[in-house]
Amino acid sequence: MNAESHEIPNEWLALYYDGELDAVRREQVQAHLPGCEPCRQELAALEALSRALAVDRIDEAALGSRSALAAWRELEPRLPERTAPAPAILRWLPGLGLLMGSVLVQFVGVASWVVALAAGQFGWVAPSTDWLNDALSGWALGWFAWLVPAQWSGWGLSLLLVVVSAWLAVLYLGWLAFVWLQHPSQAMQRAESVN
Amino acid sequence: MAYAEIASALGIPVGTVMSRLNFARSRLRELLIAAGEVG
Repeated sequence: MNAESHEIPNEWLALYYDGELDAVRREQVQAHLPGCEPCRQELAALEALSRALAVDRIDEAALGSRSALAAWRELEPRLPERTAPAPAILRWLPGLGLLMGSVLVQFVGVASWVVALAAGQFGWVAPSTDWLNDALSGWALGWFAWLVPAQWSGWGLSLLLVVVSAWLAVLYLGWLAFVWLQHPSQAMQRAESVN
Repeated sequence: MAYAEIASALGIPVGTVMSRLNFARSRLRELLIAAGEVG
């Protein structure tokens, strides 16, 4: 078996090591191991972990809750200082910030258009002749709307579509990536779906 | 101790035993590598 036809899921190795695989899969793993260096390394890592914990191949009869606790007490001082995981809200903060920032930009765009339109209506300034285009570009571009000169209005709509699509795509992909990479329950669910 | 025994002792599904073991192992591995106990 080579890397292209890798038929041994990673999770099997831990099960194999724990003696939890059925006979058919156990034989598959045994046949696979000689030809697969990464799998042998993974198995060696599992063995090294057990050795480091000094509970190599736990003897079931000997293991009461007291000896497990004793093993943990022996191990714990050797572990580095634990850093508390960030509270859930902190993990979501970058994504939320992005979203709120975008909402704020859109709000300022719309609000400035409303103010300009009202100012035109009440005769404080000359009323806008192209209010629909102003509204759309204000909505799409937020406070970047002033960057677009009035004479661009011919292809303003296509620019508008590009900007809106790009913003939506960036927000959506960023959100997806954030959820996928940062949310710890995703990793747990992936592991649980194996069963 | 077999996974099935752990599962019945804790009252959780066997799949959960597997995933928690996986999670605990990878966490322990990280911690032990950081502590220099495992290469």
